[in-house]
Amino acid sequence: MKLLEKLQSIDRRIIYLILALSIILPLLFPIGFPVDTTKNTQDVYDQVNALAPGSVVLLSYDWDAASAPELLPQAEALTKHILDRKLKLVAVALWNQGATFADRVHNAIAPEVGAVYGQDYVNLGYRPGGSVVLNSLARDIHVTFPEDVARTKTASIPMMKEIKSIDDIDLVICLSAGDPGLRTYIEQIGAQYPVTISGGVTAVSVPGMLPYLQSGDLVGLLAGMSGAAQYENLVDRPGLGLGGMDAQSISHLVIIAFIIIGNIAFLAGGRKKK
Amino acid sequence: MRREVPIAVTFVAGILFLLDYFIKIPYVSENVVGQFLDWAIIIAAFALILGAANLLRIHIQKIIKGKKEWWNSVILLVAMFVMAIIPIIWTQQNAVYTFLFKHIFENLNGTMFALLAFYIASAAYRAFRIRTKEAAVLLVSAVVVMLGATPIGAKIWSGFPEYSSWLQTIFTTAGMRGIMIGASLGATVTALRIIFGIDKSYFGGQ
Repeated sequence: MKLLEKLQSIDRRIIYLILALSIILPLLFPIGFPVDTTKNTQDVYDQVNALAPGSVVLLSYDWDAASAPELLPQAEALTKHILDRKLKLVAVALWNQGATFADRVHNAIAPEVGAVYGQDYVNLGYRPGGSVVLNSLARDIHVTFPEDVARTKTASIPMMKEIKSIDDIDLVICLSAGDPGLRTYIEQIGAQYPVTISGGVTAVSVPGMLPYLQSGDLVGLLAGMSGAAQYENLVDRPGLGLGGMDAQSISHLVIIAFIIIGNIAFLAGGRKKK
Repeated sequence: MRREVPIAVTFVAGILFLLDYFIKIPYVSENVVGQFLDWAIIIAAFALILGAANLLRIHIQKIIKGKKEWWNSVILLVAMFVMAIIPIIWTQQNAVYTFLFKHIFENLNGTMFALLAFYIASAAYRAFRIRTKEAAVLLVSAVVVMLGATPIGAKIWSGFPEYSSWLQTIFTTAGMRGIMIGASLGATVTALRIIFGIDKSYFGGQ
């Protein structure tokens, strides 16, 4: 009886410790659970793959450091795929930290694939204003982003001479941790202009995006770290996504175990008491 | 005039944006609506400065009055100025800024967010008790969705990803769609009330 009572009120410090170990140990000693690709991830991959070399992809970095473990690996895998396919990449940000992450991703991926700044990819940086920025960008990218992050005039960047408005963009991919983000792109760009919108979000944001997937307003979706891991598999570049999946698996299992233990003790002991 | 002019500007801007969303008239879209958009981006940038100025005012007062733990305000202001001034002068690609962002800011921000995992685990253990039939349904759904989202779920039982997807596609999507349509209708009504001058709450306390 005492044991059942104890199991109903395990000290939270024990829960914290076991959860911490369930995250740290798989990171130190990877198990390597196989990751299956979902239809939504495959759809994003197929959208990028279907573009002819030289096509333009707008990649929006709409997240902050708190969401980096989920969205940074998505950005790296997508950038690798885009630049490998010889597509032109235009990075923008609706969140102020996004532009810094874009630089980091470019610095990591561009040397791997031999991409050149200004010819194959560009980072136009952050603009405040959310939906207003997107409406302005759709009309004239050069007016909305007159300079890139290194303060080079957008008009003088070789690849940007031919990319002036949303009509010159072939695919929009928004990596988003909230608002403004993917929903803003669907409402302000997808609803007004004939361009395909695809994206990636944190796992907690996935339910909010499902209606857009069903309606066809959104084509493909990378869901959290699991989406990143699947994309890393598809582009054959194991990274933070695949590395984190073991830890995520075990920690989910630990949380479920605690919930089940609590309920067994509750049903066997707590209810009898009443 | 203090009320009439803002109401007239709101009406004209609102109607222009509304029409432009559905019908693109090249001259109006490029020169008039485009101009409004440029102004809006500039105002949004000034809002950031206003926020920073407000933060400065509050924390300088705290430091001058020597309030409890005033040194935290000093740290905040120094950090704010360093992270703002370096990229303004030397761009965000400056090595010092990149170092501070990657090795201090990013870790602090990530840590704050990561703490949630521990609170959620502890709260789920305490709150997720099968007290009613509804709670049992919620618990089973949560377990299926949690395991369906990870590779270990498929290893335990191949049905987890399938049923997780089914729960999300059918039930979650239906619920989210309802919430979104309701919120959108509310936003539309509020927008129309503001455009036609019925709702004047944006005047503040005047």
